[in-house]
Amino acid sequence: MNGNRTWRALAPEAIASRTFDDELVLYNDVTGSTHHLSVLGRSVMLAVLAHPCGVALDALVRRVADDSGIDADDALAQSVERTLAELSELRLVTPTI
Amino acid sequence: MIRSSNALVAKALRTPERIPQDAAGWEALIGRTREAGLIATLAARIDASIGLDRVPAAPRAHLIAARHRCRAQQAAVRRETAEIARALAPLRAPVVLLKGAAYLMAALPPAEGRLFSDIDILVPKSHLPDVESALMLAGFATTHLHPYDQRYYRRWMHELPPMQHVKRLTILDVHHTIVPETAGVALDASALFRSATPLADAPPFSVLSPCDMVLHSATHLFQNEELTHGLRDLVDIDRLLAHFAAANPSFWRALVARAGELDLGRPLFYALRFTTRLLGTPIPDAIAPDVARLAPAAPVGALMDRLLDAALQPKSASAATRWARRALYLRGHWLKMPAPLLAYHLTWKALRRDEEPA
Amino acid sequence: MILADLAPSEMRRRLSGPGLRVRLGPVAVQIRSPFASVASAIALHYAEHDLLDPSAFADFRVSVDPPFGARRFVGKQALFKFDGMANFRPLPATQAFPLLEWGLNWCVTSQCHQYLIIHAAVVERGGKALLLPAPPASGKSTLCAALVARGWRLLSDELALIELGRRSVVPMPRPISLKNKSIGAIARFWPDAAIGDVVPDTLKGSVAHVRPPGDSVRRGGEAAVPAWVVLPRYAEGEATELAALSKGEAFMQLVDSAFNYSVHGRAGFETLADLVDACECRAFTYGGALDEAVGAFDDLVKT
Repeated sequence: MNGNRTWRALAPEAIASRTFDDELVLYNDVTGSTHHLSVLGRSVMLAVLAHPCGVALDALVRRVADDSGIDADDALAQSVERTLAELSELRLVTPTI
Repeated sequence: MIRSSNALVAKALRTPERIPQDAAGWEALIGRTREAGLIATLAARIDASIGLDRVPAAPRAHLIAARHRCRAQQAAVRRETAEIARALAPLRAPVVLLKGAAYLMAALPPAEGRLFSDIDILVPKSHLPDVESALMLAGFATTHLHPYDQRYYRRWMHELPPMQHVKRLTILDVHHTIVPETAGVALDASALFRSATPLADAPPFSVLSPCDMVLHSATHLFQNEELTHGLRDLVDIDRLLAHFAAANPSFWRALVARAGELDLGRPLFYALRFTTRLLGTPIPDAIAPDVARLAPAAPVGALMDRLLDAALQPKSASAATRWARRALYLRGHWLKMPAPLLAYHLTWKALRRDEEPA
Repeated sequence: MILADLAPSEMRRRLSGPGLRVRLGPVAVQIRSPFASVASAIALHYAEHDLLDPSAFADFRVSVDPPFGARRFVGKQALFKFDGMANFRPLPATQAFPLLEWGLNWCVTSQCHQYLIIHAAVVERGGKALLLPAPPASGKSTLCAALVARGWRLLSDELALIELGRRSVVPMPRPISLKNKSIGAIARFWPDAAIGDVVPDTLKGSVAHVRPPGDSVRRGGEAAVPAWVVLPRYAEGEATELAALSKGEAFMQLVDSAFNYSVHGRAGFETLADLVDACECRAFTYGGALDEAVGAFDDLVKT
């Protein structure tokens, strides 16, 4: 676990997104790439975008738990962290500091 | 004599407000300009002068399409240089951007409307292995996998074999000098690095000094194999000269002096000869004698004039052009490589052409 | 004036000499070719297309010729050129007309960046367009031909031209290209179809073209707004099924099928998102029963 890191969108103005039912597609002008996010990815990404100044990991996990009706346990926390790592690779999010 | 296609494109770039008055005129202009790789430049110049709205709808669609492509390519080059920066910054090695990418990242006039193909960088020869490793870690794979080609690029030319990113498919050419070691002319690349200008908002990149930038473009144009973008490169040189001369009254003197220092007087001479003839580039009277001194002996000069003029025509031109291009291709190679190596290399290349798609 | 109004000798004269100028939807092309097979294919497939005056602006000037200096009368080849430039290897002269068609597709996809161009068939019924994006071997062209046979208007069998910032598709009705077994299947399904010569041994197998219906060509100036995005998949022997498809998935398929998505960046994203938002999206499987396949789409129109 990496403690309670804070995450924010890398370049929110570079992101265009669209929701279809419970799916999210987005375009990232930083890389020019387009992505179709899973339910978990969508939940995490929308939560990060909703907090321009950054959102701490535990708050993020709680929010995803609320969205999805899953318990906010260690397993979910690990999934959220993995998702953040992937979104970071895609240059969509970045840890603050 | 200047052949008609180059003259047509050059004239349109110089006086963009004088748009064609009939369909045939537009067809010719769009076709030739597109071939020369200058259609987005033309679109930009027309827009800046009389506005694209003054162009009839059908030809205008082509100019607009070219601008879309140009914008997309510029965005791609910015992204690509950012990725290359991420890969190379940890090495703390000097990295000089060359040509199109340099014009874009340094916000120089030739960037406007320019269509890009590869990205070219220059690094010190001693850093080549580390640079290559760092780039490979970042997803750039070497191309031209045949050992012969690898040797050709590494030992006999002045660059790594082109590298291609495995996902993004962009091509990156890594050079360590601008004239190959195997030619009789030995260029001290460290002189280039010493004069390079860092890009404050794009570390770790630098660009060549103004004089070196012009000289590189001139050298690249006339000494290398690919003459297919000849007119475009001349347009770059013309814009660079105007821009640098406006910023610095002693630029021309410095340019001629630097050409002497680096022994690149001959390419500079030819470049200036052709930019004046095709694009009307003004050369200050005070400098003209110094430039004239860079000329080759008369018979060689006259032959070169005819060859270069023919070869600078866009791709669709005649058999005469193709011959001229082949003759110059031979010269380009000859300047780079001692004769025995050259014959060996050309035989190999001729065989390979059959395998490659047209 | 349409091509059919031209005397055949005059058409051949223009093709062999100054060029034949024709309107193909939003683009005007000048075609030159000395091959008799090309002349007869053009006379068949482009009969209803508008003929253009030699002084009209041509977006693309193309030719299909024997290669320069080639042995003209023995072992013939055909070379496609755009504005005098040959970017492709020559093919056997028997493939001259398919080469022209592929070449014209290349011109549009490499030059017409005023549109977002999707590799898809587009047909229309009742004022609503059906977009069929698909990778090769999906059976898209066969399905497209079957739908057109049963009255759907043809906008294109290959290239969906979408105006940016709008949800409309611009037609470019041209011959529908069919391969291998689908040639026979369509010939049986559509007895009145005007199918050109079958050209064997191309890179794609045997190839033939079906003339676009006159009505589709005459209405080539009418754009259409998509109401359905359907991903077809041909699987021999399988049952015909029109299944649900998530919009996210449909969207990504369109992105993957676009020739010039990267040219348009954000604007392309928004255009496709708007399009998908307003469409019903389905995945279609069929095993070869064309009546059933067309029937499934009739049902789609009714809902």
